[in-house]
Amino acid sequence: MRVFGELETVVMDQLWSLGGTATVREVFERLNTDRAIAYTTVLSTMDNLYRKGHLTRDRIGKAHRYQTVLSHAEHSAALMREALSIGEDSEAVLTHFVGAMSEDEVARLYQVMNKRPGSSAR
Amino acid sequence: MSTAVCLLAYSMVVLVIGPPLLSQVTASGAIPRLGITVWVTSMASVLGAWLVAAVLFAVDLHRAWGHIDMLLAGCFAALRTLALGGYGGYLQAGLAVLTALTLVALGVLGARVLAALRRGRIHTRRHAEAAQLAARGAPRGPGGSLVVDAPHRSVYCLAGRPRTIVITRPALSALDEGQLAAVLAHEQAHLSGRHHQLLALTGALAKVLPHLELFTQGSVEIARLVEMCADDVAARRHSGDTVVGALLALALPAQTAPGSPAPALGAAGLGVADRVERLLDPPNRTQAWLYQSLVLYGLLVAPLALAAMIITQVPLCVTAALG
Repeated sequence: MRVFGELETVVMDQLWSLGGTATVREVFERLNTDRAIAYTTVLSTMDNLYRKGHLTRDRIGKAHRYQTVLSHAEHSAALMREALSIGEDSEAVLTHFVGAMSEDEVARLYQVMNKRPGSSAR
Repeated sequence: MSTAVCLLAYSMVVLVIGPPLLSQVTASGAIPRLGITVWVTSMASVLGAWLVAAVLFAVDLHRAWGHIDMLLAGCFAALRTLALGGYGGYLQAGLAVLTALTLVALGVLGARVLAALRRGRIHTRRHAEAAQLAARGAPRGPGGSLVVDAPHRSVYCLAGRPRTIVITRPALSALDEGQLAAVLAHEQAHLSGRHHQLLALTGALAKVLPHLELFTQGSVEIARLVEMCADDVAARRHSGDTVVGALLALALPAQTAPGSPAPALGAAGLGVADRVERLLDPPNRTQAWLYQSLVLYGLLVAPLALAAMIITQVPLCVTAALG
């Protein structure tokens, strides 16, 4: 479970650059050009991603054709939405350097900046 | 028995006067670390008082089983006549139910907090994985961070293994080199200060006890103070002005960036103005130290005095009534 990291990331990256859909063989062939990797490793990685809900698949003949559930842009957008709306559906514990600010707070920030002699808000 | 009642009374007092008092003495953020200690101590003292009270109830009940008149000899001397009048059995049963309910309630509370912590860990790990996917295995950014394409300027970090710092590309280009270093120092301070564990715990307590301000307001205040702690670390290593510059670079233009409406507030947005203000014009530390220390001693001395009374067997109700 722990080793989500590298391989799943690489496989998703390949799928996204293949337009979001591919068979295990296609991903394997692209990966195999720059790293020694077993076909079964790619197969089980994609199966993992399928089970985690990142991919869907259709049976075509003997093989599966996998599709990414979200495009890369959608995935990033969903990530940022989750990051910004803490306490709603996600309970991820994270600390923002600067979180989303209300208008009141922006106004107060300008106020603080203007109070300071010799400096102004940019 | 009477000790347990006194402990519960103590917890009530902290629950009622704690939130406004603590908010006030920790407001300036002069010594954020001490402020965090004050909040955490007050939360722990309430939970501790409940736990000890429940244990004392159980012990007393066990010891006095069958001698209900003795059980009631303390605070409830007045009830003794009632007990002797033949209602002892009912009272004893009532107390047994009360004790059982208290213990069950504490058990449920503990289990819920653990469940919330576990959900937090799972969601955090899932988010970290999603962030790795979003970064597409691109080479790590400065400080081992993950650089993600997104419209917002945003920097945040998650604890756990691996520790993750996420920077969006617009944020990366909004910061100059010094500011970026300060931001990374700030995030590293969160990670090495174990701030996430603290926030996970106070967040879980706030979720499980949503009607008790000490925990809900406390978790928000602690989140604010934790940011100030990390600001101080960053400001010591780089300069206060650099941290302010970074805060402004990320806070102000984000509001006007097209196509990215500012999402209405999570707890995360709290206190940016306060943080800038205290970095530009550091508040009085001596005063903050004095007030916060007084509150801290008050919180610690009261239960210790109770404990001393238990040990020395001072008739508690009399003392409590006089005090």
